Amino acid sequence: MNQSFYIGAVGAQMQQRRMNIIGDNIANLNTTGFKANRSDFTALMYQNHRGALNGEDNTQLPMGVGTRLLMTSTNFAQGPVVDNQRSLDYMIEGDGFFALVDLTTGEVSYTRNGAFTMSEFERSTDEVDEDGQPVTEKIFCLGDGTGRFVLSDQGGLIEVTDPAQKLPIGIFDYANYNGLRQLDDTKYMPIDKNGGLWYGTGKLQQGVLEGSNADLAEEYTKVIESQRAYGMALKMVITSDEIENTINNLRA
Amino acid sequence: MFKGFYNLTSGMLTQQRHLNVVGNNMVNISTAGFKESRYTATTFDDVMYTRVGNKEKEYTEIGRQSYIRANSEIYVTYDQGIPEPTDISLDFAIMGDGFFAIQQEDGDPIYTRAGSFSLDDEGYLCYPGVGRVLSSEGQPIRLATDKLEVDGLGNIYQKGGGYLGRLGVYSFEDTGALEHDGNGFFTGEGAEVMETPQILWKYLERSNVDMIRQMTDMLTCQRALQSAASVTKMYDELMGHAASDVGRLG
Repeated sequence: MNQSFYIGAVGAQMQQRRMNIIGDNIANLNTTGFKANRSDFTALMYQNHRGALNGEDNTQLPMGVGTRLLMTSTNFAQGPVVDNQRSLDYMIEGDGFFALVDLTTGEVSYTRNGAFTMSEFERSTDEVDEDGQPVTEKIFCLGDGTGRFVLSDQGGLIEVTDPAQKLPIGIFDYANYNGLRQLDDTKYMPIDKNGGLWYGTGKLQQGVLEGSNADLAEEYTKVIESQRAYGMALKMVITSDEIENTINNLRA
Repeated sequence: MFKGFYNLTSGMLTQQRHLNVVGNNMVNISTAGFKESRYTATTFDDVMYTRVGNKEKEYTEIGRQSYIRANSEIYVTYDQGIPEPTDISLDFAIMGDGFFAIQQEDGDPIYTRAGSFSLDDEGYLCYPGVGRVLSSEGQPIRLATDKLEVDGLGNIYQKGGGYLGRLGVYSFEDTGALEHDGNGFFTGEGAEVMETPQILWKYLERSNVDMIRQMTDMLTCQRALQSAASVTKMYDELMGHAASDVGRLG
C-alpha cells in the first residue's frame, strides 16, 4: 500500500492522542491543584530513497514517514486562588507540595490539592486494659479524605483540635519537577531524577484552594488546531485511497 | 517497445513519492521545530529522435524527448516557525538562525530546532531518547533543577541562584548542506557557535508547515497521478489494438 496512506493514518492517530490530553485538561478545569499537561511531538523515522541518476549525484533522499508522541510535559505554574471560606482548605503560594502518607503502605505522595478533612486516627496510649492489650484513643488528624494523612512540617501527623486554627502543615519541595510521576487525585510521586526532598519556599495560606492551572481559552485553541490537523491527515488517507482505486482500475 | 508504459509508470511513482513527502509535512503540523520538506523530480537526460531506416543512412533529427521521471532532491525550508508560549521552564525557541546541538550516545552531535527538552536521570538537560543538549562550550549542561531563569542569549541561571551554563546555538554556513538523519534531526559539518543568538525561554517554535500549500500540493499530486493513470489506460488500449488488430490476417 501507499506510504502516504499510513502517514495520514498515523497523523490522525497522534492528533487523537493529543485530543485525549487536551480533553483531560478541559475535564479538570475545576480540579483543585490540577496541573495542565502538554503533548510533545517529534518526527517519526526517515527512510532513504535513491535520488535521480543524473551524473555522479547518486544521492540518498531522506523521506519522513509521519509523527509520533514523544512525551507529555506538565506545566507546574501557579493556579488561581479559589476562596471557599472553609477552614480546612489550604493552598501553597509559590513552590512546594503537601505530603500525604498512606499509613497502610507507608507510601508518601505529593500534591498541590489542599482540600483536607479531619480523619479518624487510632492513637495508642500508655495504658493497657485488663487483657493486657494497649488502649487506643480516637483522635482526629488532618487527612485527604481518602485514607491518607497530611504530614506536618516536622514530618508527623497533625492532630486537629480546632479546625479554625492554622495548622503546621509541611511544605516540601523537589529541585526538579520534570519527570514527576503522576498518580490519581492530582498526586505526584518523585522518581530518582527529581533529586532530594527539602522544605518548599512556598507560603501556606489557609481558607483558600489552588484552582486548576488549565486555561480554557488555550485548551480550546488547541482543540480547534488538533481537529483541523486531524481532518487534514484524514484527507491524506482519502486521497491515498482514491489513488489506490485509480491504480486498481488501471486494468479494466 | 512500449516505452509509454515505463514513462507513465515513472510519472505515477514520482507523484506517489511527492505525496509521501506532502503527507509527512501535513502530519507534522504539531511537531515543534519541524521544517517542511519540498520534493522535486527530474527527468533523465534528453534523447534525440531521428528518422531511421532510409537507404542513405542519413539520420535526420526530428525532435527531442526525455524519458522517465525520477527523484531529484528534497529541499528543507528553514523558514522561521511561529514561537508559541508554553509556560514550561524547559522549553526554548530560537529566533532567527541557529540550531540546538544534541550529543548522541556515540558522541556525534545532531542538530534540531525543537527545544522541548527534559532532564535526564543525572540532571543533565536532554532531548528525551536522543541525548544531552550541548552548551556553547560544546559540553553537556548539568542543571539538576527546572527552576530556572534564562536570558535572551541562552544563559541559564538557577532561580535566585548561580549560573549553570549557556545553551549552545550553532549555525552553519550553508543550511542547504544539512542532512536529515533517521529520526528527522539534522546532521552536518562545520557547526559554529553563535555569539549572539536570540533565545526565547518558555517558548517553543512551531512547525513551519504551510497547510494551504500542502493541501494544494496534495490535490495536484493526486490529479497528476490520476491523469497519468488515465493515459496509461488509453495507451494500453492502443497497444491492445496494435497487438490484435494491426497484425490481423484475413
